[in-house]
Amino acid sequence: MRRVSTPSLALSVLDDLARDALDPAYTAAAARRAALTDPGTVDPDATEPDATEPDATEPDATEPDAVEPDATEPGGRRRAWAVWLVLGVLGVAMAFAVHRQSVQAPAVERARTALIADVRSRTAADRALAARIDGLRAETARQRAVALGRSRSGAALNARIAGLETAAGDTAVHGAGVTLRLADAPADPPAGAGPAGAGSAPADILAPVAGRILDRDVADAANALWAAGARAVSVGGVRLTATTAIRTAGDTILVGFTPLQSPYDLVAVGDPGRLAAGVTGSAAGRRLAGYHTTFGIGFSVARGPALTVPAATVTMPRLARESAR
Amino acid sequence: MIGALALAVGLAVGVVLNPTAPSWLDPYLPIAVVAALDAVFGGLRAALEKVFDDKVFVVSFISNVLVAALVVFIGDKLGVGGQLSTAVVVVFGIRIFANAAAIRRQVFKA
Amino acid sequence: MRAVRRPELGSLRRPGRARVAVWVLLAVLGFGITVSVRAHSGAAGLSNARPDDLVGILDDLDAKGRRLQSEADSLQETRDRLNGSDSGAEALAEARSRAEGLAILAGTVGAQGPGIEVTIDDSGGRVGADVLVDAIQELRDAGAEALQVGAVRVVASTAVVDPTGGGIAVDGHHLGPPYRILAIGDAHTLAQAMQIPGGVLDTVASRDGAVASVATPALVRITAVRP
Repeated sequence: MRRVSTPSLALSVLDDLARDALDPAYTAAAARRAALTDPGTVDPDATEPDATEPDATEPDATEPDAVEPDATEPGGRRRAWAVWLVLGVLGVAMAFAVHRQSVQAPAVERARTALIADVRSRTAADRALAARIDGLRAETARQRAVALGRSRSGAALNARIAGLETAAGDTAVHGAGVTLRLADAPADPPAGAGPAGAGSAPADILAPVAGRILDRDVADAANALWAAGARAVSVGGVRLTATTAIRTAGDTILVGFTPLQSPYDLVAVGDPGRLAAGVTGSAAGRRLAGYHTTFGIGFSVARGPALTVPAATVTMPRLARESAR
Repeated sequence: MIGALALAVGLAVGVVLNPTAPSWLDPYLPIAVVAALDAVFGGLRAALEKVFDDKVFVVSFISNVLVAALVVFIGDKLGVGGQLSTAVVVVFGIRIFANAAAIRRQVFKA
Repeated sequence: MRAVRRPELGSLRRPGRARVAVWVLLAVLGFGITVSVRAHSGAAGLSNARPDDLVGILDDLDAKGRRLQSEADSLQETRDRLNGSDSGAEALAEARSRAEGLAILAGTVGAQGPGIEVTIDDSGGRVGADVLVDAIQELRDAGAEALQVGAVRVVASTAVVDPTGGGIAVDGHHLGPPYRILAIGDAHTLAQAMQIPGGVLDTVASRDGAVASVATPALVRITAVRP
C-alpha cells in the first residue's frame, strides 16, 4: 500500500522486517522521555505506541487515524458493520477448520501422541532409576571399601573389583580420541521453499531410506572403532558395554534401549590417529563415505584431545553364573 | 551486565536441574525461546543505541512469547502448525539477524 | 507506559521493578533454552515413529525398567545389610558376588546358564562380518548376558571384520565356517530374536549355500575368556 511499485510482496515483507527490526516502542519510549525532560516537544505518535508486536505488516502510525473520524457518519457505520460481518465470517471459517482438523486427527494420531508421551516418561523414569542405582552403587562401594580394607585379601578383592568395573564400562573414560558423526541426509527442500513445500508434512515419514542412518550403520561404525583399537565408545552419550545393543524400532535407533536421533555422535577414546585412519580405511568407513557422496548422509571424523566416554549403569547378570574352567 | 549474568544463571539452573519439559509444551517451547531471543536482541540493540527501556523490554519479551505460542497453537488447531511455526521462526530469524547486524555496526563501527 | 522513573540509562541507583523483571525474564530465557535443547536432544526423533514401533520401544523400555528396578532393589538390600552390625562377612560376600558379575560382563571368567547355540554353516563363503555383527546386536537386544563366537569371548570391545582370504576375524582370531555362537540369557527370548521374520536366520537363509539353526541346550557353557 505504501509503496507503489514493489518487485514482489515477499521481498517487500522481508525488506520491512529488516528495516523495522528495532522495536518502535523503544524509539517511542525514548521520545517520550525526551518530551518529559523538555515538555515543549511532545511527539504525537508516541502517545499510543503499540508495544505488543511491531509487525512489519502493521501500518504506519499515520494510517489508522484516517478511518476513525468517519466512524460517526452513516458511511462509517456501514463500514463498522462490514467489519463485524467479516469478523463473523472469519470466526465461522475458523470453527470449521478447527472442527475438520479435530475430526481428521483421528484416534490413531491421538493414540500415537499418548504412546510418545509414554515413551518419554518411561525414558525419564529409567534415567532417574539409573541415577539412583549409581548413587547406591557408590554407597555400597564405600561401605565395601571400609569393610574390606581391614584385611589384605579384602583389599586385593576390592582392587580386583575396581579393575573389573573399568573393564565392564562402569567408570567413565577420559582421553584423546575421535568423534565420529553420522547424520541423516537433509530432508528435501524445506517446507515453504516453493509450491511443493505446501502440505509436505508427511514427507519425513516417506523420506527415502537411502539417506537415513540405519542401526547397522551405527553398529558397523562402532565395530570399526573397536577394530581400530578404541578403549571405550559411546553413541549419543550411551556407553557401549558387553550387553549394549544397537537396534532399531522403525525409524528410531535405540542404543541400550535409549531412543536417539540424528545426528549420532560416536565418541571413542584411544589413539586419535589410529582411530581416524582405522575408521576411514575400514569397509564400513568406505561404505559410509560412499553414502555420503551418493545420498548426502553426514559422515565425518574429528580428532579430539580431551574426550569423555561416560560410565554405563551396569546391571549384574541374572542368569549367567561363573563356571569353573 | 547483570542481564548477561541472569541469562547465565538461568542456563546453569537448567543444566543442573536437568528438567524434562512436559510433552504438551514441546511445540511451543522452541518457538517461545526464539521469540524471546528476538526480544533480547532488540533490547541489546536498543541499549547500544541508548534508547533501552526496561518496561518496553518486559512487554515486548512477554508479548513476543505469548503471541508466538498463540500463533503456533492456532496453527495446530487449523492443521497448519508446522508451516506457521516455520513462518514465526523465519520472521524472528530475520529480525534477529537485522538487529545483530545493527549491534555489529554499533560495536565494531563496521 | 506512563511513568518514566529513571530518565537515564544504567544509573547506579537501586534497580527499579522493571529492571528486576528484565533480569528475571533473561534468567527464564536461559532456563527455557536448556529445557528446549534437552527436549530436542531427547526422544524428539519419535515424532514420526509409527505406533507399532512405539509399542515395540515401550516393550523394550519396560524390560529395561524392570531390570533397573531389580538392580536397584538388590543394591538397596545390599546396602542395608552392609549397614548392619558385623558387616565384615556380609561385605565379603557382597564383594565376591559383585566381582563375579563384573567378571562375567568383562569376560574374564567362564560362564554358564540357560541360553542358545546358533550354528551358521556357510559352504559358499557368503556370510561375512555384517551377519555376525547383526547377530551379536540382536542377541544383546534380547538380553544376552554373555556371548562367545567360535573360541572368542564377545565383550564390549569385540570387533568383527572380513579378513582377506575369506572367513571372519573376531578380535584378530581367524574363524571359518561353521560359525558357532553361544549366548547365555533367557533361551526363549534369545531364540525368538533369531527367528523373527527378517532376522538373522532369514538373512543367512537368503545367502547361497548358507544355513543357520538354533538349538536350546539345557545348559550353555561359555569357556572362552579374556586375558
